[in-house]
Amino acid sequence: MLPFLKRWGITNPWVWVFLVTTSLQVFRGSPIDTLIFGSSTLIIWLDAAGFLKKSLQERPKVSNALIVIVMLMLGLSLSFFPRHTYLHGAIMFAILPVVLFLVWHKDRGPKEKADPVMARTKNVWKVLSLLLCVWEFAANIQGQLEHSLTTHPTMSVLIDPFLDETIGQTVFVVLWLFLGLGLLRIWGRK
Amino acid sequence: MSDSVIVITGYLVLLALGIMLWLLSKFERIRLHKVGVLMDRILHHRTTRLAIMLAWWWVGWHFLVNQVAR
Repeated sequence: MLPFLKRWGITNPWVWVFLVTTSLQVFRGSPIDTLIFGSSTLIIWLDAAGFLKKSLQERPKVSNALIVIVMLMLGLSLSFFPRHTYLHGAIMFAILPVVLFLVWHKDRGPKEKADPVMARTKNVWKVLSLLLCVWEFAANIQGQLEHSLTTHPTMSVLIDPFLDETIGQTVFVVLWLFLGLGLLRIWGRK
Repeated sequence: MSDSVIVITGYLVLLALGIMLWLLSKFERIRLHKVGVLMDRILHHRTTRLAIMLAWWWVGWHFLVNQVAR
């Protein structure tokens, strides 16, 4: 039974993480977020089930100079123009395919078995991430049930007011961009 | 203690734990790999890379484009 489920991507934890998050967006009554997470769940499931594995290329190389130019342009435009505008929407829509292209490459060979320290590292961070998700989801659900955003505030409710000021928006944009750059693992690759 | 204070305290405790783990592993004060080494490993499979980058993109979308209800 398990090989069958694995072959169809059902055992991949990311499929379930995104499916649960999509369900939460349905519960929240947020159609755009439901669409984003629903589409993401579909992409992740298609990949986990092996439907997107054909014609994979080697990892693309990006020069550091180009990265600096793009980061500067994104940083300035996302920081100093007001949020919730068509400009921000257009920039975000432009970022998505580039990011997906940069991680679309094939895996570098089979994954080695984790050493005990790596297994412990993974477990510790998994537990912490899971606790954060449970806490956030619980706050969200409780807030929805009580029709109040302040009795059980989510991270969004707590963080969003800081972004009303330019300095807060800039700090968020810089942190978000550098986190994305770090996750892409493209800086300094030859 | 009100519910909102409990919720916020929970976030702060988890944030503090995360920062502490990150620093302890970075300066090798604990027998855990550094976050960079961990990320290199977990970003091995494309499904994980896609999932993490989609989640990252949504965070930007959520705060910069969407109107957060508050």
